[in-house]
Amino acid sequence: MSQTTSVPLTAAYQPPAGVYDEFTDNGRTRDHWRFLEEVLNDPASQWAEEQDASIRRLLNENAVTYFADGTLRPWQLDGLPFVLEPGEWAALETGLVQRANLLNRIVADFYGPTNLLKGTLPQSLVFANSNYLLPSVGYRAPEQTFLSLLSFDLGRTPDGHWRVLANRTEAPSGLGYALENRMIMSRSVPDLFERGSIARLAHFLRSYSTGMQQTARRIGTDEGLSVILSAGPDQSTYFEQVFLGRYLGFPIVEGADLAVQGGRVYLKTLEGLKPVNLIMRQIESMEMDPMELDAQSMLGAPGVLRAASDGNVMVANAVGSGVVENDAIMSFLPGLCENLLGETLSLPSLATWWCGQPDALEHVVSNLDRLVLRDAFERKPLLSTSVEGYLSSDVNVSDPLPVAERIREMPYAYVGRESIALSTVPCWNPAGHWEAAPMTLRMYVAATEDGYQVMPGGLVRVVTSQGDVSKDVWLPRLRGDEITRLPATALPTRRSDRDLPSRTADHLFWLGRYLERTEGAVRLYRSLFRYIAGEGQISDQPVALNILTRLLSSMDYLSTHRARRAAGAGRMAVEQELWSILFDPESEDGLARVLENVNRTAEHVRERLSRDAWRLFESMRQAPQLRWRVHTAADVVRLLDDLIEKLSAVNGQIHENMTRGYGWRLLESGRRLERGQFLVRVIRDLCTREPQPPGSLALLLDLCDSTLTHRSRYQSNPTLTTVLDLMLIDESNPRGLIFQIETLKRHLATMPGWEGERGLAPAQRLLLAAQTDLSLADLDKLANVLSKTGLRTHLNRLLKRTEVSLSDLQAELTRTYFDPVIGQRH
Amino acid sequence: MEYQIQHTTRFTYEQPVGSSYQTLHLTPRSFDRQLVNRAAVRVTPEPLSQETRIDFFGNSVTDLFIRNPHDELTIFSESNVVVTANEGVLLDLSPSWETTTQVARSALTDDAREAGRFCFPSPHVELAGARDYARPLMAPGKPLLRLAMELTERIHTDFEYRGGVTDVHTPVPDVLASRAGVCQDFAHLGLACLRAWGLPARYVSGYLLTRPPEGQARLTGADASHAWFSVWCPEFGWVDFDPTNNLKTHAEHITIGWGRDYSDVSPTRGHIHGGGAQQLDVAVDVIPV
Repeated sequence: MSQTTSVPLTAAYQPPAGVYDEFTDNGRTRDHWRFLEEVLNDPASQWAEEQDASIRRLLNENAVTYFADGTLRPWQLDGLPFVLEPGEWAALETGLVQRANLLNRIVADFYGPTNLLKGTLPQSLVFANSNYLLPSVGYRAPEQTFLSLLSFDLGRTPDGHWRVLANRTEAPSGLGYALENRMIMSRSVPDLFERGSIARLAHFLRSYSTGMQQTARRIGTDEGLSVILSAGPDQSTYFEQVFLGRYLGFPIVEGADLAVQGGRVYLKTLEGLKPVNLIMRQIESMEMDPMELDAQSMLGAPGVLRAASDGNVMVANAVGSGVVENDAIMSFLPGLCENLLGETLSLPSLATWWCGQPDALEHVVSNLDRLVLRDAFERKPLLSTSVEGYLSSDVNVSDPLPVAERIREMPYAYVGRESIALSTVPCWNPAGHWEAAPMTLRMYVAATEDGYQVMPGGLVRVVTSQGDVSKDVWLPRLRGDEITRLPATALPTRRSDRDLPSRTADHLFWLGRYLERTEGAVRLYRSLFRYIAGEGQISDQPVALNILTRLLSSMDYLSTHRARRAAGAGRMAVEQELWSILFDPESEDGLARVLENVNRTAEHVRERLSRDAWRLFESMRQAPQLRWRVHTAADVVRLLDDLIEKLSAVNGQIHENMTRGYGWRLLESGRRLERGQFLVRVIRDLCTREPQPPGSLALLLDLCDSTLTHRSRYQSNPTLTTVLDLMLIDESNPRGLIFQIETLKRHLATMPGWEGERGLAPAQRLLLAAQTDLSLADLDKLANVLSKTGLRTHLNRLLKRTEVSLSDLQAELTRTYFDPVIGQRH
Repeated sequence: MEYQIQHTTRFTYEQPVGSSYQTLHLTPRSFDRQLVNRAAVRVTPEPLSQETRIDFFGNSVTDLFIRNPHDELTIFSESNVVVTANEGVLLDLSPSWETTTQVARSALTDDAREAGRFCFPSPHVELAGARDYARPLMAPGKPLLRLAMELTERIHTDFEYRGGVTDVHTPVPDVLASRAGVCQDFAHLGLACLRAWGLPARYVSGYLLTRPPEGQARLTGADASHAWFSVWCPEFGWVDFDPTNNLKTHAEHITIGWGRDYSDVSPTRGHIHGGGAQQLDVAVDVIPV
């Protein structure tokens, strides 16, 4: 009936004997993988190579990384998905839902009546467990949902049975990576995805997020917010928090964004304090509240645990949920399942003996050579637990005697576990062949309005000769399945920008400033290097070098010692140090530092930037790595041209794709403020003194990207009056000073708290005064030179006044909107 | 014995504090050997909220939230407490330590179950090294309370009372290595030794009589809050031992509260915005009425 099932591309695929292989069964492809055969079978196709390349590109573009053993690593995704057999899925689904219910009941009991500790379970299971957090005892979770999201690591034994290797209940991560994998796979092989009729993940995520919000709403207010509490960009899983936040539409906040008052939790926003109903916790339970948990932690918010205990906020998962995330509980689950649910545990765990029980202790001590000995209560970081973590002992058992003694001294601290030969799955080896690698399967279960639901997908982790690699998990749909499961309801609320946390607002404002500052710096450097490359517009070389180095050093983009050397030794001095001036992060000169500021700030608001914008940030970040292409000043100019293009693209992305909320307005305001300051400085440097070096007006126009505008408007060479008119008071020039002031005024007029109680708000006054000052300026007067000093006194004073207004405005905005905790930037 | 207790805690900050959260274990609790007649906590500046609750162990806790900018915070706790002398506990008539571990583990009665929670490591009580330190005392069949008294003596003899060597976060192995410390350290060490052998033991925070009767020496640790350990014995319940002063407590120790270790009952625990460097001054007065 079946034609040949050998697969040319996988012909060399040789799963080891004695283990279960997911793909083949005695050399024949298993039925549920067959829909992939056409691509794998085609001898002419370079499918695996192409797929591998395309995935690498997508991962790189999206900068998908993870943190393990102290370093940030690129995320690896294999091009061949893992296919789950639909019949098997049904059994897993039943088993995992039952397990989720069971674990939730156990946690509810441990933090509630503790009936299980009155004879059913030994107390040491809880009190010797450092993840049992006493301050959380008495927390009544809304609807008894202590565990909103769980994940389970599964492995398949050689006889083909799935076993649960680990319950993850504390703050399950990895979901964001599963989604990212799916996004990349559906983009790189959309045809296969369609052909296999693969179940989608959207419904699961929607049920999860609406379910949680509904539950939280019952204890909170209708306007109450749902937030993702993160530790910020330095956290190992920040990438996926951003991903989830964007997907679910919840703002990502840090502890400092929350305030607890009168037993309620609030988010500090631009519009003041807003009540919070639900905290999706992405930080460790211990870090949630310095008042009752880890006193040293700065990640949580003081008082949040009291607020939760008083029933005023839902924390998901509940603080202390890690109490069942350990190996010790495993051997009790069958009994507890009978006891609490009246059912047989349908999906067994890998056989485990907890030494806290006398019989199990004896078994472990006399079988140390066969068993894997593990720490009973330790929770392992999720992504650094590779498949190998399930195969090896935590404890060195090479010498069994002292080990046995150690176990007897503190038996409750150890478990012995059956070892497992994990099933294998084909993985593409970039050397050009398929290899069989052992795998674990991570599946996700979420609390929804209709009880626990299992995500029809997941995350497979394999250990290949290339290191840790992941796979997307595909579940082929049974006919008609999807239709009945599609949700009828849309997501009830989407976040509005009105809930913008003050800290995020601050980051957005500064992102605007730093982006604009980068552009200013790049234009200055470009003029410098153009001149060095012989393309400069100022004919008098030493004078030009002088002007540019002075400008650069006055803005901190060139250290004084380099500027002085340039003034003395001329262009050679600059040319010799192209690299350190531009991209050496250690150098005190500017561009690398400015770019670093952009990146750091962008990290903090990553969930508010589109994927495309983020890709552009990534490529800007990589610009300094292009040093090998830079040898001459002309190379530098090309590279800087390229950077300017990228900056315009970022600005375009932001302009086109960001909703016009407070966030966008602040980002724009930051940009305008920065541009205004840049203009004031450049004009003052190039125009306020007589005699004026030849070509400085042309340079000014170039630095302000207004050369073309000037040419089309005046059709003549620049003169002082035409340039001042264009750059100071022409309201239609988007590069001119008055335009920046007017735009700032317009953006800020719609911000909250803008109408002062008595007339105009202070910032509005500042802007109005500056605008009037500029509009009323008399060009002839501005051009006047005081013969004694050679200074254009009127112009100089006007610029000075504008500069003061702009820096007062910055202070005013910080006072009104931003979090003073972050401190001053400049 | 009836006591009048006054406990003043004063924080002085280098720079103004904008907001301050404080959790206090400064109100003595009542239990079978102690009755609290009156207790009050007064705070300057005036807190926005001041609430009292009971924690997991049954201790009285006060939560403060202060919003007025301030550069000095004063917490004044005053109470009137009656302590019953701990008579009738005969060290050599207590059950053996082995029996105690079994009773605590079996958790058959409410008392044994409660005691069974205190047999394990806790945030400030690491067990490493403690088992070996106590080993010479663990003769088979030794009555538990005799063992506890010997442990108290051993710690008192081996360790020097010296401030500044340790702080509240110093782990037990470091105390073992330095052979010096203050009352918390000795209490933690005692707990570690007992728990390492599976015995139920808890940390007690409290006060000592500050002005001893004529002719008696003043006990160490009387000028501030004090700490010691308590061991559970199936026959006599919880019995307190003070390794700092080498004695089984009688009626001169007033209990504020108990927990697994210092972290469960620290007198003050705060989280402030601003402040800069801070100075802490504590004054305790315990006067017999």
